Amino acid sequence: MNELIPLIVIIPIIAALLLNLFAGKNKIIKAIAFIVGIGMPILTLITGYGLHYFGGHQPLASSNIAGLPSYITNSTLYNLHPAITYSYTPLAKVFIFALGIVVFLSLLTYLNSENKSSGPFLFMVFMGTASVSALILSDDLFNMYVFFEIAALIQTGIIIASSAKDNYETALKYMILSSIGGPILLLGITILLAICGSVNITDISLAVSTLVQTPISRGVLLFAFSLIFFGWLYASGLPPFHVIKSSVYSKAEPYGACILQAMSLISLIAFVIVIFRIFGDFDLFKGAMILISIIAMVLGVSMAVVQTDFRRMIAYLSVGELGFVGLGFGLGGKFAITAGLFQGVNEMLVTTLLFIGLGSVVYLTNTSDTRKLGGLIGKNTMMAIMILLGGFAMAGVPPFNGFRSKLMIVEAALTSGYPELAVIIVLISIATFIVFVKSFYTIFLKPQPNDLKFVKESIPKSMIFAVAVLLIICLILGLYPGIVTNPISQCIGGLL
Amino acid sequence: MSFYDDFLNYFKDKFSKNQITNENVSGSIAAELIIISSTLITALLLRHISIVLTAVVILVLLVLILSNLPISIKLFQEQDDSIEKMLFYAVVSLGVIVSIFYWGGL
Repeated sequence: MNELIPLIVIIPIIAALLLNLFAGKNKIIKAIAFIVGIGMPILTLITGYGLHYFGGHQPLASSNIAGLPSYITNSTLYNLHPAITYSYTPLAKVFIFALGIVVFLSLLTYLNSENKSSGPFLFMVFMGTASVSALILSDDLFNMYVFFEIAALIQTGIIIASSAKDNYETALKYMILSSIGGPILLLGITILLAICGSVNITDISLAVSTLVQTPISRGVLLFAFSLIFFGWLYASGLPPFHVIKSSVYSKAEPYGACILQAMSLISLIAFVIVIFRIFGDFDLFKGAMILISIIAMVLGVSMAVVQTDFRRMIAYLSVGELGFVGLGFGLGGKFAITAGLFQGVNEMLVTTLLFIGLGSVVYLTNTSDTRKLGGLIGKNTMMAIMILLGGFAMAGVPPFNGFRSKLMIVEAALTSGYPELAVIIVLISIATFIVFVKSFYTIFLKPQPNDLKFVKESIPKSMIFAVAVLLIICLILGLYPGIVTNPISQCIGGLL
Repeated sequence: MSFYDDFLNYFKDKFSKNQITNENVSGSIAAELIIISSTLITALLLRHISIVLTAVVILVLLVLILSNLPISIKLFQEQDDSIEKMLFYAVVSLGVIVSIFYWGGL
């Protein structure tokens, strides 16, 4: 047992409650948010790997109790997990640390760019952080669902907290679509509970490997698989939920959008690992993953290229990039899954860079319509160049992290005997590059329109700092990908 | 008339009320090419199941693509923020996924 593991979830929850309590006191909530924001990544680094059990004991098989009768040691009860298990693995460490960085830099931007901090908004940020951290830590499917629903409500709250036009309408639409996706996911989980008798993922995986050989059980399992797969599409914002997800990102404030996309990405990772562990041996798994990933990538990038609102453009690109993660799982094998997960980390960091970087344009002009913008390179050349480099990182231009992960996925596709997928990946990367060159030209290089008005004179230093830090991380991960791929690969080796 | 002119006229016809720039048109053409090439390359994956099926599917896709040009604008219009369309596609996807997974996996 590692006592620090639950603190990864508990500390942000306590911070959220305190921030709500001191909602009117600007200085206090700024201090709490800053301390907890910087403390979270540190906590993930000092916490040791291991398991933590809530509300019950560890499995009898792990307890080493001598003298148990054979009718217990030979039964399934012996290996059953009676407690809610939190598993802190190198994989969880990488993603929660990356989330911590994203949350901290987003908070820094928020605290510096807004004169008065909102307690309820910060409450939602920390509750969201706790929820998605629990999602990736938990080995209990129902516990995951509960935290996922909290995360979904938090996402709605973050949109409502925004000052963007039509944000209430988007939040309502997201809630309506949640009323389809959420219950369908829960129904799938319930069927698994009914047929396996446990909500622990390790127990379910073991039970499914036996039950799948019975024709009747196989039908029920396939039905549960289809429902959970659909729920996963909703959780991650893959098609057919890509439109609402991109709308959600574009209606949030830039610092809120960073947190929203990080939450969606971790939801995607957490649930795809569960689906892989339970249903990974099903024939349909690989085909379904590859197909939905291709649809996401093509729709994401083709919708991004026609956008005139750059926030929507990044939102669509972000959704499209999720397809690369799914593709890693679809291809299967240690190398491909590691590549997919590495792409997930990269996407989280690069999208944050772009949301904050291009958020500075909204900060200066109060618009994200590319038709109304132009000539902004003169306002802050350094920021413009960093945004362009961030775009290159997303498109997969060397020496950035996006290049490394996409190259790994191309290699995995070629070695798996799917050269078509390698061609599609290259094609999508070229299209992403086109999107950035086009938008960079329209926002920064095109002659400035006469009617363009500036609401602020300069960009806050916190924004420049956040973008610079993220760009440096992207460069480091591009030059030394082993920092992320080694722990992920180590963990994936245990899953296969 | 060239494909570009056809495309431009269609674009003006559909979006005449909005401000249209060269970037909009070039973006839509780029999207068109991405969609067409990706769809055809994805269809090639069917060769792992049957080469005859791949040939048939590609021919059908070619006919469908050529008879529905420009696809990107139609796709763009289908994927707006309308809740009716979002719900429609969500429910259709649920039906397709459950059907394929259930009967395809038995």
